[in-house]
Amino acid sequence: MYLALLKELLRNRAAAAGLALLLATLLAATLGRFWFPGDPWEMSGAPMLWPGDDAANPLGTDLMGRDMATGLVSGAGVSLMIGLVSTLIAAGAGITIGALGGFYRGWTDAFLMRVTELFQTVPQFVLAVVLVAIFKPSVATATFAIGIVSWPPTARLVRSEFLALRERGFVEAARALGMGDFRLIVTQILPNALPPVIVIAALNIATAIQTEAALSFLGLGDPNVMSWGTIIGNGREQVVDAWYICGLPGIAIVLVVLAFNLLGEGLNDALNPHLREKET
Amino acid sequence: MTQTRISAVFRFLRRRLWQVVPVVFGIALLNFLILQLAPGDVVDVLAGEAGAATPEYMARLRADFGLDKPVPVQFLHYIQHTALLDLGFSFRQNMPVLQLILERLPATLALMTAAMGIAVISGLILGVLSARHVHRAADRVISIFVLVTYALPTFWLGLMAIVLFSARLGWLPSSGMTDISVELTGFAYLRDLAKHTVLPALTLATFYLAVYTRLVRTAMLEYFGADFIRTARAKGATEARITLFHALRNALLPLMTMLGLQLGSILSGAVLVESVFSWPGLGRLAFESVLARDFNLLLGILLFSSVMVTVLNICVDVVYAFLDPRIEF
Repeated sequence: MYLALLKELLRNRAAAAGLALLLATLLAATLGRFWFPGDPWEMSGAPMLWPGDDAANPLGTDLMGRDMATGLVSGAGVSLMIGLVSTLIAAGAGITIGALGGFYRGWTDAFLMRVTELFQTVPQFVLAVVLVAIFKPSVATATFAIGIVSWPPTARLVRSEFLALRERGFVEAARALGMGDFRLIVTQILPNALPPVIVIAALNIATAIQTEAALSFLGLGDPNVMSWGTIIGNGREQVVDAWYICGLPGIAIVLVVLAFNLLGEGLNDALNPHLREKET
Repeated sequence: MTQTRISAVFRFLRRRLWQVVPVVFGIALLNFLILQLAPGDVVDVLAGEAGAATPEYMARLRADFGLDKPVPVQFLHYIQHTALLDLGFSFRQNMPVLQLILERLPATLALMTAAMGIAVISGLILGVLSARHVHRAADRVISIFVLVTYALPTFWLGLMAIVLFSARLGWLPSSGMTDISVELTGFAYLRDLAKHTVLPALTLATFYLAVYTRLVRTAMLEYFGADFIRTARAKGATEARITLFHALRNALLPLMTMLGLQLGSILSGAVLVESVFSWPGLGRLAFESVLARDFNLLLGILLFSSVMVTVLNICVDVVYAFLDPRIEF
């Protein structure tokens, strides 16, 4: 099934481009470390060297003479990691809340939906800023905060899937066989509700990466970790004289976010073929 | 619009305004929970840790919160204050939090309004263009533009806009809301304000512009096949008339829904745009309070902006009903 899905994705030009971009980022985050093994915080050349000025710093240096390429490679890892883990947190919370609400309905559902609405009303980035600022900036708090602010769409989606699926024949049959609630939810309904959740998760990674960059841009990044947002935030004061310091990590963010968006759309086309037919 | 409908709008407003109450309660609970879970006691967190607060202020805060009492009592205390919109005092800025927020509010509302105006109008134009020329060159170019725009981080776009339009080309100012070095009045003042607004508003608008373009395109394509459009065609209406008066009017509805859903996210975007362009609004205030570790102010902004989103949402619902006469209040 996974092979078939991959084949379907590769046939879709946009999704294939997304996969290629993603692969490039993964390579940068892993193999790039061997290529640029230095400490991204360490001074390695004259400050504000432009890209191409010196072969030792192919992408130039920042205001403090730190190597840009090393920083960008480190940022790739941070972005992917925080994007993935926070999305897992959001998916976990969203699936749990949506499944409970959709399966049990009644007051459980009413209560959980109220909570979901509350989290959708709060300006999400402001809440993330509050959480990270109060619980001290670090990779862990950023990941957690981004996860906490991004679960509501998943919860709503899973809830509506559960509401529809719980009435279906195969669920009735399993219930008649004496299957308990937990097994019904996990083994019968959830697998059928997952495809759209996967699409949302791919798109969510893109948003999470942007949120992480924005947090570190505001100075709420982990003080020991060089991420793309940190580089942009540090280069901000001199952006007019040396725009490449902010420019390069920004382009990196655009490419990775684009990759996950394309992938999400490709997955959407592959997993919900009836939507594609409607489009044309 | 009949008299009964207008009075129905008012009844609807009265009922909807009550929905602000659970939001205030919910956010207050959330804020309280965050404060309880944070390292140190509530007062340490609220006063920040840079040690700028005087011992008297800390003692007053401790008494205010009743820290010697059990947690539920503390919560009741907190809720009582919040319900009366008493958001406390900002020690760093030496002003009540509510007053600080209200002073900064107009700038943020102005920025949001300008940005949304740009996003809705250009989104409509691009979406209609795209739908009219579906699968042709114009549609493809717009689609690629939308795709790239989706991926642009707002704050980065703002920085790059400053480099290009302020520093290199010198067309537009890069920071603030007005030129503070000269005293301007009347028309000159408005001109200055408009010049300062262009870059931040465009930056904030870009992402939503892409969302609306896509939304309008999909909606228009759907309506081009609908029965009421076929009827209009059969009556001999021109394509331009069909596009503008029949399809577009209906495409506005999903756009309004999306706008309502995105109000919180627009406010979030404003935080970043304001800190890039030193725009003196709520977002800039939030940024300043993070830098100063003034958490009481920060939590006040969180509460206030959530209430604002709820109220603006109610406004969107009213506009929606004006656009679609089928909606019952």
